[in-house]
Amino acid sequence: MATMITDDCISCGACEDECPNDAIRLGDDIFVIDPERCSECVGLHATQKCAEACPVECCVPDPERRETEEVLLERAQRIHAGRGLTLEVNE
Amino acid sequence: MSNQTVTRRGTCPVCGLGCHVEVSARDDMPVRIKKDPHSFHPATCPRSASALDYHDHPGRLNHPMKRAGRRGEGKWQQISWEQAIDEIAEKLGRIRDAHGPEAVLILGGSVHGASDAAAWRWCNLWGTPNYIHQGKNCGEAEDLAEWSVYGDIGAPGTTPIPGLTKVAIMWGLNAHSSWTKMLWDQFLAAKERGTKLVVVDPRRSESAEKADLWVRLRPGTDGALAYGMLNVIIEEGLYDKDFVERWCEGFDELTARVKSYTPEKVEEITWVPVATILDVARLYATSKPSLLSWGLGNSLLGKATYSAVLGKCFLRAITGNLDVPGGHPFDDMPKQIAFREEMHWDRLLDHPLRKRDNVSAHLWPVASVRGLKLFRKAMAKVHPKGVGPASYMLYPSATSAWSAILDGDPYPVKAAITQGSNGLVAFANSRRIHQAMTSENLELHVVMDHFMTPTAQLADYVMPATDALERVTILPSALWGFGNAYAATAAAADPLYQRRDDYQLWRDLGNRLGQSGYWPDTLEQWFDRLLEPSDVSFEELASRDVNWLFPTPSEKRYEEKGFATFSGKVELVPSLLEKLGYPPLPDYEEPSWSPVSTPELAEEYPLVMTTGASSRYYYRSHQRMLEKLRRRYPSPLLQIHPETARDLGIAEGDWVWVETPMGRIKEKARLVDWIDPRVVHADALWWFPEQPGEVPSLNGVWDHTINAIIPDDADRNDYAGDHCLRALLCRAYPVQDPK
Repeated sequence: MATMITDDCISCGACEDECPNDAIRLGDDIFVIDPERCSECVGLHATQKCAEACPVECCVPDPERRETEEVLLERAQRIHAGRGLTLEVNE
Repeated sequence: MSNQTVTRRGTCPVCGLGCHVEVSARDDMPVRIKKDPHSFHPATCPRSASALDYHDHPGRLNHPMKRAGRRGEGKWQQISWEQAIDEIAEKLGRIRDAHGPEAVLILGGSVHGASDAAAWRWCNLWGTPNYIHQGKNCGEAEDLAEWSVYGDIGAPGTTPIPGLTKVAIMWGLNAHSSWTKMLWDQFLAAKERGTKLVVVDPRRSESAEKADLWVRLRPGTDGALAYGMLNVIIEEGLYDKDFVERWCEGFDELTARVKSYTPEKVEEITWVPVATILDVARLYATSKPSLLSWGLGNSLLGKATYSAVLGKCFLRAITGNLDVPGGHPFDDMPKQIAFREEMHWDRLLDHPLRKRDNVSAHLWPVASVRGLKLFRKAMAKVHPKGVGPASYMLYPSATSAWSAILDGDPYPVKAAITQGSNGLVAFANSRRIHQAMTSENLELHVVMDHFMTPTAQLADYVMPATDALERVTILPSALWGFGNAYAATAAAADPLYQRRDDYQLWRDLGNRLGQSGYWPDTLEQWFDRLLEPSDVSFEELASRDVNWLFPTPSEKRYEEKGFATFSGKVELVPSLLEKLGYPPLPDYEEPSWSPVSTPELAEEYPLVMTTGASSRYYYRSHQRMLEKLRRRYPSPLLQIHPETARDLGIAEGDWVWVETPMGRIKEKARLVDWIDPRVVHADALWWFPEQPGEVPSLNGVWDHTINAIIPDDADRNDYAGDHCLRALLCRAYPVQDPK
């Protein structure tokens, strides 16, 4: 499932700086994740960067958008075409 | 060395609000800082996300330094803490012998933990009433009015109670940006449960965005609006007749005073439509309980402040909202913490070496030793030990502090110790402050801070302060004397380099200057002493899961002993102010620059300017060196209406000159369609840490600090000597050659 940002967001922008997919933007008041660009860091990092950076733990799985690892990887591969991303991540 | 990560609870180091964090440390170095999810006061703002950067920032002050060149030249010699203290103490002793203890001035601002309280304690033992701290130019005017009218102040940080508070009026306050998220969320939670949220502000602030009713008034006219609301409430008989009958004195005088403030006349003054004035007056008076907030905005209006802050008190009183839950509960007295005893205010009042009142007592006696004594007398029956934040009754005006240094008026001030204050940027008329801080008359200036601010650049000694991760902390409001609640957090990391906590400066100076025996060895030991009435040690409290204690105060405390005024009643004609020579029930007065008071000046400077609104990204003048925050808020903004901007040839994002008769500075245009086309808002408190710190640049203060072009003359100040920062005149035009 894609990640979403809850109302607890404090608009600090820590997640925006960390997102490898450039999926996070400042919305009306709080930051918003574009689900079409979120791969939950699959193929890129062993941990989810936005959730790790968030000081208030408001980057959480979106229950409305459950997605398989394969779907997420495919999305990451599309965004980072040519990098040959796989489920194996070497950091 | 172990590679294990340990997690400790601690205090966010980034600003003075002292929110709680969870710190993960490896080899004793913090590696990750998040909100403490178990705290009632968790760090949840964008600033806290820079906590790690703040703690080990390359710009931090890490060693005591002594000036090696001229003031402001940027030449420093690193010295030991002991050498610095020895030299400072020697100079202070000499100055006291030659000029008296009052020749020492203390400047504080945004606290680093114990700084303010430890400084007050030192000053009271030393014998100087000249300390200007948190509160001066920060809402003090409002508190003094409340104490004058009903002998108590509203509990700081009061929020509406969901399901109980009917109306919450945020007046001169943007809780969204100025208060913690937790408090702001209370406003939203109450709104969900039916509380009507009203915001009185010239700006459509983030709080106003969420309001049911936004009252957009001309900056500076808050007093006229308050009187207009009183007029409606009294004329229509909507006040609480039982409460007025039983508890208020001077109702007839108040009725007569506000009679001429008809909604029509008030619309003319405030630019608020008659219908809105009627709406807000009726809504507030007919919905109980209702909250009418404290506000900084209406406390910084110069001559217009007096009627604004008194008017708000009268509104709360005659609608029967005083000291009721969901309305305007009074601040509780510090009882679990021996705050008043440990401050030694009584020692200052009768100090054998103190011959004089503070430097502005002759101009603004409501904030003076004389004023404090009178307040104590008026409150004696209800508050025999006085109130917690008694310092607010004492702070002299900054205007007079500089006169005392520059002209010896009313007497010479020869030394200044600045702790956690950036006075050059924070007070009006930065040029005059610069003169004072570089004057030869000032024989000693010590600055203790986290960073080399423009103010620190002008010092003789610069001392490195620990941040809140590196020291023990009690909830900041408890250390200002507010309330009867406290929380204790241990240090989450050892101090880096030679940073020391603020307490140690006062302890060491005290021990060398005749106060030995008064200062426990460590800050924690002093906290133990403060906590004695609660029968718990600091260490024990800090180690508890629930490391705080919040007793619920009782309500309608006046029913037992009356109000803490001379008459025991709510005084709508405050006798305390009368005794000090003030008109006790004033007319609304215009700010000293306004389209009404100075129409000729307004021809040349046609825009009404308000300044200094808060943002979540910066606390006052701090944090401009933190990259993450600067990326999101890189420069000071001038909020201006698109039509006004178009007429002036200004486009979004342009650098703009903002000019007053005192000069001009640059801000970036931010076009906003909600502001009155005749009004602009200029960001305040800016300096650029990345620009050269030495003179003449001083981190760009002359180019970007709005206070450099705001006057501080005595006759423009409010009744407590506070500067007029929020109701001014200016003109704006594009910078032709932006560099």
